[in-house]
This record gives sequence, C-alpha cells and structure tokens, in this order.
Amino acid sequence: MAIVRLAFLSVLNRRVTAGLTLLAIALSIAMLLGVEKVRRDARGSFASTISGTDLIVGARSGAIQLLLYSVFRIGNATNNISWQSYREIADFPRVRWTVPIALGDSHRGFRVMGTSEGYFEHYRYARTESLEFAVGGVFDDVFDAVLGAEVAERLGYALGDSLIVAHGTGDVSFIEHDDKPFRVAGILTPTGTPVDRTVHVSLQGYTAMHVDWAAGVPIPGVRISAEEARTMDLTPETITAFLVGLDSKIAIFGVQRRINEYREEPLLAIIPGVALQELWDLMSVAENVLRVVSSMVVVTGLLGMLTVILSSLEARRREMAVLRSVGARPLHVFALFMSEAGVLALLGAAAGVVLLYVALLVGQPIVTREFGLHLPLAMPAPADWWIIAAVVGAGFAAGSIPAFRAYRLSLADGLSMRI
Amino acid sequence: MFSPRGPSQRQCRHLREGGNPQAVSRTDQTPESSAIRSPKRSWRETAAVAARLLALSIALVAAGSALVAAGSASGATGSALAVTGSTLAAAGSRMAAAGSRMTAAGSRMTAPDEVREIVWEELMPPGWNPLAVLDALRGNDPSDLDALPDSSPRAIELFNAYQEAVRSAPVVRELNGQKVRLPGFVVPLDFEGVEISEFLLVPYFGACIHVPPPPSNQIVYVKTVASYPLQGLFDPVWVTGEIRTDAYPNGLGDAGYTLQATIIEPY
Amino acid sequence: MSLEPEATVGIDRVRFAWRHGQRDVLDIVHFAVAAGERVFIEGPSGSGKSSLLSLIGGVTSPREGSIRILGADLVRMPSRHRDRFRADHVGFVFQMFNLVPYLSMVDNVTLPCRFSRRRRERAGAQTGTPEAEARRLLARLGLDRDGLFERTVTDLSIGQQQRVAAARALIGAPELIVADEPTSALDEGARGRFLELLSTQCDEAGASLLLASHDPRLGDAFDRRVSLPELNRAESDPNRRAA
Repeated sequence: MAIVRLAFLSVLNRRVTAGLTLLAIALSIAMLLGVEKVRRDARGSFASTISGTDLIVGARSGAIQLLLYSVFRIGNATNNISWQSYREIADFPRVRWTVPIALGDSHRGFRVMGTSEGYFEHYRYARTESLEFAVGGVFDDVFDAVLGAEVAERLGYALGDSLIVAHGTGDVSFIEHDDKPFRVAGILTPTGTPVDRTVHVSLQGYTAMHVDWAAGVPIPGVRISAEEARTMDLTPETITAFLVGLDSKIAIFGVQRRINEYREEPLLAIIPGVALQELWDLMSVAENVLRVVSSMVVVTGLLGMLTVILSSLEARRREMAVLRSVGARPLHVFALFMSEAGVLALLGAAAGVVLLYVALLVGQPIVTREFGLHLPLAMPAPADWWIIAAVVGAGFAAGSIPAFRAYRLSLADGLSMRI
Repeated sequence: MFSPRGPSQRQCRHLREGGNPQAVSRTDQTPESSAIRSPKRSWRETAAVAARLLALSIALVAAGSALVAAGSASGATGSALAVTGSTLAAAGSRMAAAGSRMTAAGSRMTAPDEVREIVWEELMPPGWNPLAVLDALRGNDPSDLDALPDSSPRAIELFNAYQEAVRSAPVVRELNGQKVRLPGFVVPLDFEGVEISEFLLVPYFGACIHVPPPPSNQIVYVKTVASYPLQGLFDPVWVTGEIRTDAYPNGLGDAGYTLQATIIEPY
Repeated sequence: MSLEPEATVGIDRVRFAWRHGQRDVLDIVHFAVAAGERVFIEGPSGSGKSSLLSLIGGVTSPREGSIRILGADLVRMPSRHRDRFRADHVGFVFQMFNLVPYLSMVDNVTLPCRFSRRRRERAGAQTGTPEAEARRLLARLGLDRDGLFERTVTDLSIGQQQRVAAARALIGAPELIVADEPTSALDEGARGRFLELLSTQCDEAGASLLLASHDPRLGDAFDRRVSLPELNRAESDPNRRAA
C-alpha cells in the first residue's frame, strides 16, 4: 500500500531519532520477554528435579531452605543430623527406603555429596526417569567417585582419573583433602538437574576425608593416610539430610509428623512437592513485580515514540499539504502517521527479540553455572507471541494520537503553505 | 477531542434559508477551517454512540453478575456466572440451585457410572469415631485431659494411641469404583513440568503443618493424566474421578483412598 | 450565468468565508476557464488568490454557489470524492516546499499516480511505467543531468525543486494545472524559463493552466488576465457581510 511505503520511507529518513526510539522499544520488549522466559524456564528447571521421594529430612530450618540445599545444592544447611537419629527413623514403620546424604565439600566449584548406593537406585527426576551411567558404575571402593555429566565434561574427566576434594563449598578453597584422592569410577548421563553438577562419593569416603580433622581443620600432628583410613570404621557420625520413601502415600502426613516431633533431635521433614509449591508462591510475588516493571518500561518506550512523532508534526505540515494536493485524503494522512508508529513498533519488536536471543546466547552458560538454571534457546512460546503482538498493537494505538492530530491539522491547513 | 469544527450540512442548509448560524467550534486558532463538514464525519458520531452502547451493556453485565452472585450462595455460582448479565443469568441461577438440590436428594440413587458429588464425611464409615479410642483407653479415668501437660507420659500415651487409630482408619468399601466429585485442598507430590501430576487431597488447608494430621480416611491420593497448574497452595479444587479403596499389597494396615482424576477444576 | 459546456473550470455565485460568521473572503459571480486556456490571476497578497485556488482544488468548499470542474460540481461531492477528483484531474504547484523531503525525485513526481489510477494509467500509456514517464518529464524540464537523480530532493536548488513540482503536476496529463505563485521564490531569469517550460508542457498535454501571482509582469505570456480584486465582489465591497 502506498501509505505504508511512504511511512517506511519517512521513518528511514529520520534514521537517528527513529533508531533511538527503536532501541527504547527493543530494550523494553527484550526485558519483558526475558522476564517471562526466565520465569518459565526457572520453574521448569526446578520442577523436574526430584520425583518419587515422599519426604526429605534435615536439621530443623525452613522448608524451602531444606529443599534448596538438599536437592538444588543452593545454600547451606544450618546443622547436621546424627547418624543415630537417622537409623531410628529409617526403622520407622511404613518407611520403605532411605538415602542419606552429606554435603559441605566441593571440587573446583562443584558440590561434593556423600551418599549411599541407594541414591542411584531411588533418586528419580522428571516423574519417571532414574539415574543412568554413561560409563562405569556405582561406588565399589571407599575412595570411588561418580561424576555428574556436566562435571565430567567441563573438567574433562574420564574413568580412572583422580581428583582432590576441597573443604567448603566456595569456588576456591585453601584447605584441601589432598592426602585422600578420589578415583572416578562412574560418569552419569545428562539429566538436566543439579545431579549433573555434583560429584558423588560414598559416605564412607566422606567420613574418611575428615577422619583426621576436627572442627573443620586438620588436627595438627595427626595424619591418617588413605590406606589407614580404609581399615577404620567409616560409619559417619552425622549426615546433612536424608531422603525417605514410604510404602503408602497416605502415610506421608503421619510419618512427617512423627519426624517433626522426634524428641532426640530437632528435625524437619518436608514434602518436596509442597516445599516446591511454596517456592513458586514466593517467586510469583517477585515475578509479578518484575512483570509490572517491564510493562512500565514498555509504556515508557512507546511514550518516547509518541513524543518523537508528535514533535515532528509541526515541521511536517507542508508535507501534509503537498500530499493533500496530489489527492491524499485526510484519512490517508491519519494512516500515514499511524503506520509510522506501527512500523517503529514492529521493527522495535523484531529488534527486541533479536536482542533477547543475543543476550541468551551470551548469558546462558553463566546463568547455568551460577544459578543452576537451564535457559534453553527455543523459539518464543505462544505466550511470548501474544506479548509481542500486544506491544505492536499498542504501538499502533499510540500512533493514533499523533495521527489524529495530523488529521485535524491537514483538515485545517488544506493547501496553505504554512511557513 | 471530538468537538465539531464547523456547522454540519444540515445547519448550512438552514443558513442558506436565512437562519442564525449556531455556535461553533473551539479548535486551534487557525483562521482557515472548512466551512462545510463532510458527511463522512458521522463515523465519529457512530463511534461515540457505539462507545455509549458498550458502556451501557457493560453496566448491565456488571449488574446482572452482582445479582447472580448475591442470589447463588448455594454453590451454583459456577454455572450461573457463565451466562453474562441479563435476566437469563438470574433465571439460570434459580434453575441451577434447584438442580443441585435435586442432585443432593437423589445422591443415593444415581447409577454407578454417573458422577456423584460427595462430602468428606462420606469417606468415614458411619459410627467410626477416632475419639472413641481415647475413651476406651481412658476407661474410668476422670482426670481432665486438657489439664494434662503435653509432655506427661499419660498424655503422650493417649496421643500416640489416638495417632495409631487415625493412622490406619477404616475406609468405606462401598465407595470403591464410584465416580465421584470431591472438593479439597492440594498437597502436591509430583510435578509434570510446573503442573501437578500427583497430589494428596485433604479437607482443610495446611494439613501438613496442622497438629494432628487428618485421619487416613480423610486423605485421598490423587493421580491425574492431564497435569493441573496449581495457582497456589491456598486454592481449593474440585476433583472428579473414580475412587478406589483397594488394599495395598504390603498388607500393612488398612488401605487408603486413591482417585484417578479425570477433571480437576478450581473451586 | 451561461456555462460553456466544455469549460474546464466554471465558478458561479460562489461565496466563501474561512469561518462561519466572518466576512466573506470571496464573492464571485462568474468565472470560467476553457479547455487548454492559460489564465493568469493577478492580485496583491491577501486578495484571496490562495482561497480561490483552494476552492478550485476542492480542498475547501464555499458556503454557497457551485464550482464545476470538467462539468462535475465539487460542492455537491462528499469530501472523499473531491479528493479523488483532485487526484484524477488537477495538478498543483505551490510557491515553495513542494516536495516531500524523504522521497526521491522520481518518487515525488509519481506521487499523484499513487493516489489516482487514472493518472497512473495515463502516465504509463506513453512510456510504460509511471517512473519512466517521470524521467521523461524531468528530462523535458531540463532535469536529466548526471547525478541529479541520486541527490536527495532537499539538495536541489529552488529552481530545480519547482521544476520537479511542475513535473509532478503534469504527470498523467491532468486536465487542469493550478499554480499558486510558483515563481515568487525564483530569480528573474529562472522565472521566465520556468513559465516557458510550464506553458509548453501544458500545451503539449492540452491542459488548462491557472496561475495566480502578485507580479503583473508574468501575465504577458497568458491567454487571459484576470484581476482578482475586480472579480471578487467581496474585495470591492468590503461592507458586504455574511447574510
């Protein structure tokens, strides 16, 4: 259509101002879509992480906190659980299986988790998937380690390689268990869960590492070699948490209550699904705030565009008179200005999408490393298309304001040349 | 914004016949303005009329919905609200209220493959009373239960006995295989992505933190094929599906209720 | 009151005021332009030249009277028909700022073809496409020097811009060319040349030319001179008020 072509050429002619307006709209759309994407993918990442576990038990803290550190390896435990309490609860009626886990050490930025062989048998994710080995198998020796897929890939480990575990969970540690190297006995297939980023060792191995330590430091003058440690009784004294599977879902509440009321030690038993839902409910507050802010940014971008077009109206009255003289109707003038706004909004939206994907490309590995969030580079979801359509529509609608003013001006001016 | 800028055609004809011009526009101060308005401007008038009509119909809808909301406390809100603000809405709510009364009256007589709306009391066998266990245990002990400190051995003993009683509460076998509809709160167990695929349905919110937890015949283990996006833990839902009371193969105590859900909807 | 049936322009008993209730700006009993005639309308600034041309273009309407272009009474038409009519049959040249700054020379010249199918067809009749016809016209007006087409129109000199405007008015052979002070911004030499070019082109196309200016010297080249202050009763009788 002639008018749309004129609109396009007109915008092109004012490249600099149009470009700035475009940038504003693009940034706002990138922000809006980015918030939606992170929101969706974050939930997706979190949701598929654990299945089939009826209860998770840890030292008494907050439910979400326990969920985060035990399953997502985010944050830390406030305290540990005694082995005794664990064994007592493992013997409760209706408890079918338990898997103890010990956390606190790390290897080159990845968390090290001590656990039993039962972990590889009972841990499920994405409803029905269980852990599988790409190479190797579960622990045999005290100092065997099983690596998650990402650990092996990023650090370039293969079966048989040895690794040193560091004390503490920071990226850098000044204290290492260098006298007790571990051997890679197995590597898991990728799961898309925090399992990929974990180094799994046996509980005995975990205990062995700390057998000559006390209060978090090596005891001066006491050195127990790995060989010596193997011969000792390596039953742990404390663990960080344990997973529980019951024989009946109906029994969940009862067992949970019993554990929460356990008199020997302050414990907390959570239902993972409930804690996850509580996490969502918490996050949704932040999400809604972010959405509101992003929408405001979009509005600001559109207002900027409006201002630019409105302020150019005066200078374009001659142009409008020329158009009228060649037969353009006032409605054509209206359509011209509205199309300019629409073209800007459309181009801005396209630029915004491109911007978002560039940002994703750059930021994806960083986000996965720092937060454990997987942000797949997929096509925009249907909801995203609606958002884009809404913003473009709003752009057109906003354009109707200067368009209407131009319409009235062209009616008023007729063919007169206002100099 | 829509103020007229000049006299209409009608007014101009009026002028030619020698009448008085009507007062006109407040426009920009341009001296040049079209002396005759084109009849095309009527689209603006039409738009104004249309806007007024729309506002009026919205007001009607709002009024109708208010009527419906006020008049349907019986729980027929769902079906009534679907019909938007007119007398149909009021009539619809009356019909739905009558219908639900009939359903309640005839609940015992529905055919096996029809969905029956049930309440939580129906899941407990008539005559079963968990507190009866307490009475039996206490025997002739006249002491005031409330006066006992929580940590006293007697209190603990009574409480544990009560817990045992409710942990393996009896189920109503007649419900096995029936298609029912039951409202309740969701305790999520497993997710399909961000939507719920397995959950426990309980009669009150916060069952997992309340002391004591509900008896086992007041908990329904629900599985669903089509996952449900739960908006929040506070939101109750209606669950429709076939309820079963099969025993668990392990033989440890009585079975509980399981339900294969076909429909889950917000309450 | 007798109208020549073939008159390109016929104005009868027209009274026009900018605002309702204001004094009439124009009050013309009769004015006509024949087909192919070149008429010079002369009058000082403020005498209503632009108003008259605006009426003839159908952009404004009188409060009474009839304005016939090629037999069609503009006053009876709804405004969108008037706009289409103007696109089909009238070409305009203004005093200055004739061109759309973000369009090329050729795009500026072919503008009327985008709003009038008739003009587009007639433009394409001779040379195939409106763009080719635009180049032909520009060449006839002396604007085919190398590198000119690539220049943005705002880089052109006033004389060049006016000639582009003329080409735009002429493309598609409209029956009437209306020019409002087209040479006032040009210097003496350019003035004469422009008028000559314009007249020649109008002759070739068989179009009527209606040119308004305050400069009486321009009128020599025209078939007929009309003094607007004499024609316009509103001017000669300032006491006439709106009825």
